[in-house]
Amino acid sequence: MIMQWLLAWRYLWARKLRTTLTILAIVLGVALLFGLQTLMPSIMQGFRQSMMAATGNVDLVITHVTGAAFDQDVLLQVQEIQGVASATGMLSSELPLPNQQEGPLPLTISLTGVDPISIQHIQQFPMAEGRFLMPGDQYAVVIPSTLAEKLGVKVGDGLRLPTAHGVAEMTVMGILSSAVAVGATPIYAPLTIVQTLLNKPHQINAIRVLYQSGVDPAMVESLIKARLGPNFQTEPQLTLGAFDSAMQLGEQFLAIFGIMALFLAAFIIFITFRTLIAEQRRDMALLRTVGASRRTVIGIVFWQAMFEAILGTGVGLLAGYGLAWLMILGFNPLLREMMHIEIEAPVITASNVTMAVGLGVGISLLGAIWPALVSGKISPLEALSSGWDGVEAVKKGRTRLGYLLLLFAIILFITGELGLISLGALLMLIGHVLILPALVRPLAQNLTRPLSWFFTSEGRIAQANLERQPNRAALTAATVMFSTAIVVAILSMIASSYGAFANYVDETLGADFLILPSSLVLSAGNLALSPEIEREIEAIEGVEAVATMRLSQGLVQGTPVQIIGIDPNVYPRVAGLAFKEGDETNAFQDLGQGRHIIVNGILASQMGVGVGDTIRINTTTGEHEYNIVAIALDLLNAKISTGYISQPLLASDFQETNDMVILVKAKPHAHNQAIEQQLQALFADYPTFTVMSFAEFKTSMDKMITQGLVFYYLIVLIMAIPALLAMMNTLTINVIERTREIGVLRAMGALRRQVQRMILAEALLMAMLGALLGALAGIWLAYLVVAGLSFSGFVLAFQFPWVGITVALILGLAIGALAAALPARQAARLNIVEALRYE
Amino acid sequence: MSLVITDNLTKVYGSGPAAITALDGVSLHIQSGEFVAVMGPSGCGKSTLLHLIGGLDAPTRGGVTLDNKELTSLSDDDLTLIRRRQIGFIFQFFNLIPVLSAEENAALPLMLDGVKPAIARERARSWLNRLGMGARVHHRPNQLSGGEQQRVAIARALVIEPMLVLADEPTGNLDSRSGEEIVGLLRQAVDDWGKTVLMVTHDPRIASFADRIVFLKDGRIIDETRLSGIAGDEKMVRDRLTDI
Repeated sequence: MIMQWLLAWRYLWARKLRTTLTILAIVLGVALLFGLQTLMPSIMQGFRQSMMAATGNVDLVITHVTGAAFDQDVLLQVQEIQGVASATGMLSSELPLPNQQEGPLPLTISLTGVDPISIQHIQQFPMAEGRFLMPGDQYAVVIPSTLAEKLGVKVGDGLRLPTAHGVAEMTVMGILSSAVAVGATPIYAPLTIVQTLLNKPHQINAIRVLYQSGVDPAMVESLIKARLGPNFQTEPQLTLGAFDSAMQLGEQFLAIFGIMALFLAAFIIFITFRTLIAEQRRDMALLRTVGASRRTVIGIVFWQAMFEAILGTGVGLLAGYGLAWLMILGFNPLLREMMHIEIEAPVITASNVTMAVGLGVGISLLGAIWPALVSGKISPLEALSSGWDGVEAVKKGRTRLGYLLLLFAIILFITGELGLISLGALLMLIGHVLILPALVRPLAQNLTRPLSWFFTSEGRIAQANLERQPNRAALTAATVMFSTAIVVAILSMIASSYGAFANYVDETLGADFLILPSSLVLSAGNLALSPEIEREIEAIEGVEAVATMRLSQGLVQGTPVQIIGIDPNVYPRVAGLAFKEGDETNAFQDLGQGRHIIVNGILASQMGVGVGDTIRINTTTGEHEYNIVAIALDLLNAKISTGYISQPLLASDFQETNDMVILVKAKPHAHNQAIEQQLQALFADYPTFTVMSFAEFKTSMDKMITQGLVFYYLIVLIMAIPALLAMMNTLTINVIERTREIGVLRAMGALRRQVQRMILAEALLMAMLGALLGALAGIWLAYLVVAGLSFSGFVLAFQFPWVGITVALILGLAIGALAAALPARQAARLNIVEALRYE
Repeated sequence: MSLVITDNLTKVYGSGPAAITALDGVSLHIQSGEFVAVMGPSGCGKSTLLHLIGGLDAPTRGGVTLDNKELTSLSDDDLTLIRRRQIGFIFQFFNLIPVLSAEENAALPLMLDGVKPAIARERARSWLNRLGMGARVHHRPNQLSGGEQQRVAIARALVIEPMLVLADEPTGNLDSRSGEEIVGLLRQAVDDWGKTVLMVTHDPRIASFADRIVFLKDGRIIDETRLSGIAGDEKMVRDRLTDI
């Protein structure tokens, strides 16, 4: 064992550059995987904490099925249930906040009556100024700092609230330090006072429950349900609903990149060890001659892989943590702007460390298995022969299998079934890898022609060298192929999404003016406007029509969905929906009568429903059935499971009448600038809303998208790294292996730069080989991604990825040139005499 | 006229107590059109001398003049050009590029020098013909015998029409018959084609083909012998070696 370690270590140490490159490949894979794994929980945590700021550390929320208030004594029943640590009753109501000086200021707040003692068992109230409510407080309120700033009030100032008995004058006792990011702005007052103000004595409309630690949440919940009966509904800890699933999708997407990077790393390890065996063949044979067993020889290879795997994984974990921090620093401005969310430190858990270590070490060793086994088969006689001449043969059986797989892939592709196409894409990639060695010769010969314009004799030697080891060249080219395929796919997806996006903007938000809430994720903590504002907008001269979106939530088969109320008569005149199924005119007509709904593609695919089906939605007023009349989407809600119903229906079924988005259409030839100025003036009092002309909106959307794209470009660049490492690795090994040949060339009069150019030409040939096939595979992958997205309801038109292909080819050449730099330098610097003596 | 002049040529590897003097003040003149063999025991500095004269390595002290040009003062690129255009190398292990055919291997120095591939191949073919390899031009090294491979290597050395051919144990890896054929070709290069050859060898029989033998020991020239240029001098060479 010690001899195995010693030899393994000596071999690694003797080839420092190659060892470093291989370790770097593992580092990259582990770093990507671990970085993303630690980042995602902290993003989720960011969202949750943001939600918590509004709702507290609650395990369960109990409300009446109707949403109405109920007797406070129910709280006593809940408190008695086993497993409940604490329960508090609340009475809250959304109120328009009157302007404190003059006229109405229709800012909707949520006046929440709480019991000053028990609420603090469940929710923390960090104070910026003053104090929280205390028993004995009467007309006292505690408000968030954001509202205090907006209203310009301080501790001790008065705050006027509309009540069932007219305006009440409250005193601000404290200002909360945490800015509430998600949910309506809450104002806290003593429960008894709120019950009086709202004229609901001894009534509450929600009970928040905190479980004892260690109890089974499901059991406690069922006990509560049994005790309270069917009139009460329980909702486990506030779910992030549709957003949660979107995040999970993102998480999976990113995890795929991490795993792909790791597999590329395994591939690099495979290539490295494969050539390493070729290089150490004589030494191994010699060991066998002097009595080393097959196992010993395999062990030497295994321990080399093990050292690299452990070191690579260790450094990868650190690098991943650093990467996660970098991404957090990069994403925070974007998330702050779009969603008012701040992500904190990456979350390291035992499970994500175990997974990264397991995959890092496991996949690395997997890559070394085959070469190790081959090393065990080396015969002692080989030590006595003149050695390996380095010429590889192309295995015909493998090539045939490759073509067969490609044929299968094409057949699967023709079926049009997403699952089969996905399988086809995988087969296609494997098929390409298998046929590549056979393609090396013809492709290299063809590519040498254009190359010979720049490289004369060096190009010919490079081509011959490539043909000498078609398998090695093919494997290296394959990493370039994977990388470029991913690049083409991503760039194509971006192009297709961008095209679709531009269409959706025009089609669904093509109003002259848009009045949008602070967060474009409508359900993420926006304040809704009371509908009186519509009348005021209509009164502006030059305004032809005003369309609005109202937002509520429902449950379909237990899954949260977003329900948007629109006026089917006005909405299509001002903006529109992008219809995928069903007739637009009829759909809007139907929406005006009876329980009809238009669903977006995500909801349709999630629930497996189509036009003509019915869908049951659990609403605040009970469960109702809606007929699906069309599948269509608007841009803002394109990625969230959404249904559209008429506003009267939203009012009756969901009891929601406030506006979330307002779209304004101007009369033909109206003075748009004047309208915008008046809109701006009107909304000056609504700081959470932004008035934009269509052009401004489009510009801001473009800006947002460009910011988002940075992330994808980053992935494109990261994906190029494994290819770069693999290529550098192979070229370094080639240089080592051909040391004597390089010495002969130099002795015969090849200039240092000619040797450099020879390596460069070889790298470029390999890169072009990989990039060409990669572009081909990329088109396929791109189609798959676009089809996959369309399948999930976000329909995109496939655009042929010209840009992606161009970028991929340029990237391929760049990878080749960059990868060649170091090995070429190394080759050119070889000492001729030593090189000639090299064995 | 001396084509090669080495003046007090010294090469020391390493430094301090670990320093090894491979060549110790060797002064040697080689006339144009002369066939010189260098002999001596292993480690006596034969190959080092060849490397220094060929511009593959730089001396620690002293200098090498080739065709009136002082090599030690030249840049790496200039030295490379001299090797490419004026010196032909032949090695013990042939050192052909395994992926190139015999013709391509022989044409390589010309191609490196920017000669059009068609012309380079044509000239390579003509040399291969002269060396009796006309029928094997398209074969790759692994399809050729050792003697044939060395013929390709000689063609590669002569294709540039060099002033000087440096041969490092050219027959060391061949059987005696092939070895004699190869050294016969080197003799022919001197007699018929006007080249100058400096050859390192262990083999007295091979050395006896030369015009002059320089004996090296511990990095110094200890003796020189002129020969009549016929194989019969072999015994004399052997005797000389034994004396040394």
